[in-house]
Amino acid sequence: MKKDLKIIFTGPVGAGKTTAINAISDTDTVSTNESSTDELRYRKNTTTVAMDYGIINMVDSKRVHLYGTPGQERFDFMWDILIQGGMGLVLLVDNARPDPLEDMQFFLQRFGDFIQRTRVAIGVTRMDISSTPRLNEYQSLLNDQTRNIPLFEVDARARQDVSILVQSLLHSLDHQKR
Amino acid sequence: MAGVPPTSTGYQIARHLAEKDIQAFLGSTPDIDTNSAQQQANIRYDPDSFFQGKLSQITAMMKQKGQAVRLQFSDEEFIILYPDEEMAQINMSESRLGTLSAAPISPSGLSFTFCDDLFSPDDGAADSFMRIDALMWKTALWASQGRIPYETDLHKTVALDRWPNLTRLLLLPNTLEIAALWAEQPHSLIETAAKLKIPQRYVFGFYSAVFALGLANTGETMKTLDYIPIAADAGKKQLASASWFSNWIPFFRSKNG
Repeated sequence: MKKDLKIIFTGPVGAGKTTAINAISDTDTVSTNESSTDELRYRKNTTTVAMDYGIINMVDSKRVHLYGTPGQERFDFMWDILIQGGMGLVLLVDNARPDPLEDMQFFLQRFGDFIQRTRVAIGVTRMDISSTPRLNEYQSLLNDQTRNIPLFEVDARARQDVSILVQSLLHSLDHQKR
Repeated sequence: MAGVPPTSTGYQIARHLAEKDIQAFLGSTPDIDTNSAQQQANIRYDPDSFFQGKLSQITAMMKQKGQAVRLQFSDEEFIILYPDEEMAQINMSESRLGTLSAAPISPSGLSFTFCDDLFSPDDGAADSFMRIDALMWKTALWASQGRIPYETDLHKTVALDRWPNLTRLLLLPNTLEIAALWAEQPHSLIETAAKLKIPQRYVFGFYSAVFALGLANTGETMKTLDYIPIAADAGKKQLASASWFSNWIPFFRSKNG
């Protein structure tokens, strides 16, 4: 029986969602990019307005579908659409943004219901650009969560890093209490 | 190794080298019979007798004092730990560090002095730099070689206080599976190996590494993983999907490293 999986990548603008999906997808990714508006242009030339999509091909024709949400809140109607049927969430947080800890809290809260039903893994990106806050500061905030959430430093361009992040999510799903 | 037939000489050599690398960290001790006191003794070691233990003690002092510290092994071999950057400057080869870490260390084999923090990764052209947690993780694996610290209770459940930063640590076979299991549901070391159907030494080695980072919790105080009941149909779907995760995760691993 063919059975596919769906994983959603989310996070603020510029956190590396599109890059991460590109890094790990076995196929050319589909992106819906538009030119950035003025306030975003200093960070990146284009931004995702609907979704990114990639695939990991498994044996026996099984596939993992990777969906990336738009980062901007004005497209948040897409977030609820994209999580439908999803098995887990990968949250990427850009450490070089003004308040990445608040960003993490925001997305954990915004996707709270989905995370409670599934699992989340968090990757902190661009720590080479900004080394603070440190991971232990993120961990301190996660102490309020009822679950032990995988949290790693991630280079979204590095397939190995993204792979470890996704694997941690999948293994968490595999061992979750039922 | 895409495109290389598994029977080729190149593949066999690569596999042999990979297995030797794993053996350097996880040893080759077969699974033990937990009823045998002798076999139980064989899988234990004293971290304080190795560089792992010294590093742990010195790092704790460094954090308390907030000052860089220089560890001297010989006239020419040293490691400097930088507290603010959480980095280690290592003035020796990887293999030499492995040799020093794998053998018990004599009291005269290591001295240390506090020094000024002159962290400058570009200056030490011949030196390598590693995060301190990665150094502690690796030295613990070298010392452990698939064994566990003396006081470890094989049958007491272990939980992870938090996930180690595994993208920046040495990954060995089944590391992610064990971490996920202990993050979600505490299991004893013996139960873990049985449940995951993996050699006990893989579990012992991982335990020793997370123990070195202070992340292994055997105090039954881990987070209460309150299970949130979900809608019946959603639950059925989730179970059906989860049941084949185990089948395809190995394929995922082999494809993505």
